[in-house]
Amino acid sequence: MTDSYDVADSVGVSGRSTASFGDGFSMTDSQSLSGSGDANVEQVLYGSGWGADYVVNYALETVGASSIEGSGSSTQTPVAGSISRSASTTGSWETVSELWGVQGGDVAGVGSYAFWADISTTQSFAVGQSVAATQNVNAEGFYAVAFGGAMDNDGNWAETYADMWLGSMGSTQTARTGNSASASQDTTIEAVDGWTWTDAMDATGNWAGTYAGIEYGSLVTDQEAEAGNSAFASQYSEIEAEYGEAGSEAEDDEGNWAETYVELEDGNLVTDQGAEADDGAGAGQYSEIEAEYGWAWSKAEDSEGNEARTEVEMLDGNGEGNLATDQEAEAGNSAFAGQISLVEGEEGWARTWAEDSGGNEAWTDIDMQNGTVLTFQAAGAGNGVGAGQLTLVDAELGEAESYAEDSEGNHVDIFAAVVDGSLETWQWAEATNSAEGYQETEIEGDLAYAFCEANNTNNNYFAYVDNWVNGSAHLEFEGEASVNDSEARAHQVSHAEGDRIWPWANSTNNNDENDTAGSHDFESWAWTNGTGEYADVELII
Amino acid sequence: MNRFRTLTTALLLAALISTAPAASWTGSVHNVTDGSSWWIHRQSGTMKLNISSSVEGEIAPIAVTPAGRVLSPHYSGMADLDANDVRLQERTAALEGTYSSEEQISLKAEAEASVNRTYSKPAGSNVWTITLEENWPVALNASRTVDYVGKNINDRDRAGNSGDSVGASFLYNKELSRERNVALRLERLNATVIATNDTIISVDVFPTRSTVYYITSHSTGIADLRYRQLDSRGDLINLGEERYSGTYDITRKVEMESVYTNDTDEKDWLSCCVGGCSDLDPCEIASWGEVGVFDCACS
Repeated sequence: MTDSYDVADSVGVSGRSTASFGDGFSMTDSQSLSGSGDANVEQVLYGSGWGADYVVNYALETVGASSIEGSGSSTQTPVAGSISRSASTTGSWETVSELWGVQGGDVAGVGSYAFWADISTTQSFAVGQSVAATQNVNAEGFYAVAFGGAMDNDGNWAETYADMWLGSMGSTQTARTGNSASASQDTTIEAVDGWTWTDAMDATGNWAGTYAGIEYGSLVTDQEAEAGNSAFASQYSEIEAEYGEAGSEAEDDEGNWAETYVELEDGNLVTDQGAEADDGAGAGQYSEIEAEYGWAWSKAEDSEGNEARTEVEMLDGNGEGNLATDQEAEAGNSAFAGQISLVEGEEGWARTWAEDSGGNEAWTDIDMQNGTVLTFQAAGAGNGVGAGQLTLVDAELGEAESYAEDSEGNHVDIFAAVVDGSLETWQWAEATNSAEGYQETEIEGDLAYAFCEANNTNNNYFAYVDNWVNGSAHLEFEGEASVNDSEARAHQVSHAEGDRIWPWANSTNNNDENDTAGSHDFESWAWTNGTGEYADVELII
Repeated sequence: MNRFRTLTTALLLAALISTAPAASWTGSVHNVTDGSSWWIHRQSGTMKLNISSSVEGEIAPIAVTPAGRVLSPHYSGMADLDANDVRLQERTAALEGTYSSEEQISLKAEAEASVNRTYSKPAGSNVWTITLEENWPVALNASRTVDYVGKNINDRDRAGNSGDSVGASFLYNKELSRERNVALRLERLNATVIATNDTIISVDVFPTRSTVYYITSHSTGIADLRYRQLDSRGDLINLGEERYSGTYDITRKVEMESVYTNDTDEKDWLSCCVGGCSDLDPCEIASWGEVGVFDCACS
């Protein structure tokens, strides 16, 4: 072992080391440091023999500290060793404390840094069957960082990081290598700015990471990442801040990518995330937000260019909003994004979107004002894109729409809306070389409106059916639309009750409608193709 | 971070390296400010060695081939013993004659006790104290008699103990009879290094040891007798060398002992720096030999 000291006169140092030669060879060491001013301490432990050579390095440097306290101990044999070091400084300009080591190509280490901040850190390191480093850091002041990392001799690595600006931070971090690499942190930040992340990449290039950050508030996060034959990242978070964000990302060695993300302004956030990358990529998220503004999305993109995304957004000027989401994203030979959302606020939006590499696209969309949205969404992309939603809206204004467009520009549009009431709809739309869509909707409110539309813009083939109900409206609507190169077609069956009931059916040039009131059942057809067209609204009862 | 420094300070390195199989350790101190450095390496083991021998005969020519090739008559022997710097070296070469000798050697060494290193620097001071403590005892007893009459004999030996040494060389003797007894003891070793951020001020190595060397001889050639004793800083404090050419009967006993307590520094060296030397006997501190570095006026 070697010890190197470059300390100011005002710093006192003492240490004791013992080499034992009796019952097994070992060395122990203890030391302490106290005083004020500048200190630069470096310590190295070397192991040797029996193929277990290792090196452990400790470094402590502080500048201009009004107080320095440090202590530590170590035990080592030729094949294994452990070391722990504690240091705390107050009033320093800068303080750095690092502990890391290597054995047989496995490397692990932890470090902390403080700039104009009081910091207290306890670090430990063990080498033997594996190489592991841990630290517990508490800092308060202008800026502080805590980090840890590990890489094994196969090339698997993992790292974890936390920083804080103008506030306080407590972080417990671990980095370990053996046959794999892992890193984790359990961190609490209360600061103007705080940022944390953990990521891992295996030797074959699978990568996963998770992160969380805040501005003007507090963050509690428990993160871990691992890399072996695959990579994995996870996170549990609680955020209370004016601004907060958290996300997870994964990318496999073939270029498949998946990501989840959530952010908020002025509120709360709880998130439980995960990310994986192996032969595919995966991302997941459980979120809860109570804020003026919240936004959560999932995204997956496979290596062939298929892409899917879901998102939900909430805005509440009264500061009483909510957003709960359960997201996931996948990418393999295709892509997928899903979402279970609950939004309460002045305004809410939820969307899914998928596009395959051939140019087919599908999306769903929900808009809400002054109310509640509960939606289950999904999107896919691959040999055919699709998007779907099962949605409940209770609001002053609610709209749900699904849309699919193939690579030729043929598209279908499925739509339902309510004013001052509730809307429940199950919709989907998909596109391959053609497009089709479906909805089953029930609406109750001042106004109820639903339609299915198919449109071949190249050939001007158009088909449209709807039902529109005003005044104490109740509408049960089931319809579908489809379009391809040779035809556009739409159909609906509905039951409507209201002061005015006004269903339409349109082909490219024809229109049929029925304007009535009361309680009635309708069925409508519309189609246009190269040989003709048809539009008809039938009053069944 | 160096750009924020207002003071240029020094780096002091203290190392302790040890290995189990050879029971060895190395301690070093290196000051990067002026490049001054010091190191010590020790090696021992837990062992015993006992040898006893008796020889009586004629050193005579012998035929080694049927054709009558004759090997020149001679005798030669050597011994090198070294345990933790406790040494015994013997060299003997004799031509045709009558030779007899008896010898007994007993060596016992232990290297199981821990080796300790401490270092300290009080706050408010720039003086470092680094100590090393070893408790690896060695005991070496050796007795030897030689009787020779013949053409020529050279017989030399040297007993060493942590820098101290005693020995005798008998060269070009046609008649030699000698009896020698050696008792070497090493109890422990302490070392103290005093350094500042600027330089290493002093190094004191304190092996607690004793050396007893007794010889009685009758010689007809050259007889060289010598002894040497070092202080804690490796400086020579006692030396004797004698040469006798002719026919002599010599009896000599040398006893050297250096006993150090575990308190490696009984003097208040810091007060020497701070308060001057008025309360210290100049003769007492003279053995320090490095008084100047304390910026004292006394020497």
